Amino acid sequence: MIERLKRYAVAGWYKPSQVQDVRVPAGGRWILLLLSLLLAAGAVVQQWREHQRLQRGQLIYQQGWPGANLAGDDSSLPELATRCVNCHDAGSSAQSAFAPALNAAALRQLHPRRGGPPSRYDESSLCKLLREGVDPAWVQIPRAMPRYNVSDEDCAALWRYLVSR
Amino acid sequence: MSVPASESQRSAFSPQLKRRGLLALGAAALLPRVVHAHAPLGPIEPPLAAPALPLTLHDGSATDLPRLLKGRWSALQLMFTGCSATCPIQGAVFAALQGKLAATLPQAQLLSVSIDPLNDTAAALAAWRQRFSAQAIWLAAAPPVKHADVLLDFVDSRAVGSDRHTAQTLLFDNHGRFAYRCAEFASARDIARLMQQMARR
Repeated sequence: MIERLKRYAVAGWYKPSQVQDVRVPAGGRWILLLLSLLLAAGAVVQQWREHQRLQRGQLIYQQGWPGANLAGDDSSLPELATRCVNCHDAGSSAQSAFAPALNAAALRQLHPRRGGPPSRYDESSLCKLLREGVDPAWVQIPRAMPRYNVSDEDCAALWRYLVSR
Repeated sequence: MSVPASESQRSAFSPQLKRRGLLALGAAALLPRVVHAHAPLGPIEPPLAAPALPLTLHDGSATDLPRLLKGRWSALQLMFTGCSATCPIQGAVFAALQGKLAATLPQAQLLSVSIDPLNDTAAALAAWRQRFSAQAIWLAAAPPVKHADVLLDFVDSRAVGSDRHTAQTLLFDNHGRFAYRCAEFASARDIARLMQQMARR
């Protein structure tokens, strides 16, 4: 390692006199290696979790919400009935007229909704809407949009997926 | 102290007042439609006798609405088999409801009535029932095409947009009268409780 640092010093990265100052004590290189591995593993786990979250959000949006039930009820709804695309699929003009498109532009941009002042969604306001039917400007949305019992994890997953679109 | 308006002021206001009057008339003409889309939820006072609407059931047999309703406590929903938006959830709610009523209210029945009789043949209705594992207490029916909107108008349950019906559940008493309007997507548990309370009165 010292040899390598000396080569860097020759290349102008360090002054040769500094090389002695950064000498790694015996066994220290293993600690450094371990720390690097831990950092790399942490980054991989973080990426994997994010990927899982996106996949979960996509599943909820396109194929339905496994085990979902209406707010205040304990009966599970079939996944087919809870697909967001049933109403929010902007690919079909008839369906898009039934319910608004759900994507990053529609959710994150500041604009007036349902006659309220300009507002934008974030993760917590999306969760509030899903659970209580209240939008970010505190306007009640039509009851044609069901209210669901939804966990924080599922809500976060759906938000991540929607703003990735 | 009020100051009487001068002649010139009066003449200046009068076109405005006329315009306002016309606007008010216009709004009054629109009012029935607006109210129509926002009929109040809860008890219907007094309960309304169901119209003599002919119906074809999912098994192909012919009947009419009053005959179907008489002697039973009924939960009715408007739907159509080609609806992929609200109807799958409506179907799921009835699927849960039939299980809750079977043991507690034997005189109960569930009715899914189509607003699209052109496409909803008896076979299509039967397939729709099957999709939700409907039991004997859950019937599906469609009126003749020429009477497609009769029930929609009777229960004041029109929705704005491409889907013409709301997801409200409408409760009828055992005399065949429309007695209670539940909000959209009322839970199976709450509908069952309401029907049991109606039957106990």
